[in-house]
Amino acid sequence: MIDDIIDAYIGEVTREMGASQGVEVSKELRAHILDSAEALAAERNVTVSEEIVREVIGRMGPAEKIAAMYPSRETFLKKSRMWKAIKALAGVAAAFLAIGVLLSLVAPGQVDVPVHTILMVVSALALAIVVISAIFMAIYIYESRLKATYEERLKRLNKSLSDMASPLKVALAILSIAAWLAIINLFWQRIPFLMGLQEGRMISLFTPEFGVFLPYINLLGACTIVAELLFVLIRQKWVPAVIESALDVGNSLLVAWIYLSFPFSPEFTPLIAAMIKVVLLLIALGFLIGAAKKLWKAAQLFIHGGLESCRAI
Amino acid sequence: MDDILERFEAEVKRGVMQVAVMCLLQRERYGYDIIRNLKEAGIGVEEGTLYPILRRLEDERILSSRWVTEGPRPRKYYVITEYGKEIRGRLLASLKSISRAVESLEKGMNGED
Repeated sequence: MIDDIIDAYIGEVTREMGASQGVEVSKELRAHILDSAEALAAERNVTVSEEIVREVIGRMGPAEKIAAMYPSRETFLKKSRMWKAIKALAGVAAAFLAIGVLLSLVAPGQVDVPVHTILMVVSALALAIVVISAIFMAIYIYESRLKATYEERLKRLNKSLSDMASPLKVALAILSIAAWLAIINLFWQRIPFLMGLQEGRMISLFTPEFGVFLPYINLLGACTIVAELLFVLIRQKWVPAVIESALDVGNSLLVAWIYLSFPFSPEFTPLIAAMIKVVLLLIALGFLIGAAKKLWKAAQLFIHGGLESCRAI
Repeated sequence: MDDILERFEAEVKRGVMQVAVMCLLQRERYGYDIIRNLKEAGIGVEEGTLYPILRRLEDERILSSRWVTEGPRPRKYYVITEYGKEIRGRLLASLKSISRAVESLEKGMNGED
């Protein structure tokens, strides 16, 4: 019965809290109520009873008041009102889209102009959502990273540097590279891709000419595995970081070469071919960004003289 | 009038309580222990209000905490951080300066009477 009284009070306090905060607050308040009840009972030379527990809870104050005093655990999305803005824009876009679909169904072929206008409006709204998201993400990054204390930033740096040499991370990286190499070597001729948006037929993504690139893909993959192993094997962690940075540049050049030679099926429609080219450019850009990040990590590892000295700061 | 007094007192207490907690947490203590010490120091509080304050101070990295599972039940122990000590120093200086200013205003007021 005593537990029921405590549970009811704590339940009121933690009702609006997230799971992890709720569990922690429950444990802490329960410990306080029991400590307080035992002290009060000892003071009066009685045993802990429901009355004592009720009195202790009475001293703690109304549950709603306590709950309201806890710092909010709202996510960044909710706190910044970003979620509401995006939901509103998405709602308007969905409404326009629904009208467009209904118009096309009711009068097919007769309402091209309004449907076209609706599609333009929806595109504009989608663009607005992307822009708003980008602005809020920039604010979030500024708040969470640049406004962090020196200790916090040092902790993050230490973590990111030690993560690079973590055996688990190395094992996962090696496994994923091995899986990628296995797939590309065994199945590259059978990887299906949509021929065109309207055709709806699947054809092989790569033509036989793609075989020229395979040795280079394998070489870069094998070198990356070696570099990953070096993170665990040697003390100078900046060496594999530099190697991986160079390998990323190599990967980027390889993708650029594939982009220029473009050994894909001529059956692809121009739109699909263009989409593949855009994806290839993005991949090449991604590798270049990865190379820059790894070079920066290598510099950090070099400056800090290895993880041991870094941890000792 | 009692309501107004109660509200004023609660507002002042809440601010003072945070500094008092920072002072008490020079060494590691858990919630009930903090409240007992606050009461002994003459700062009576609604007991439940302490925990959200501790949580807030912890979120602001003024306090750090750890769970200790030995003993009759698990307890969360808090202690002030180096950053918290810096804040506490400044807050104490600010409180003293406010107190001096209020005293001087009070003296002036009594002089006019």
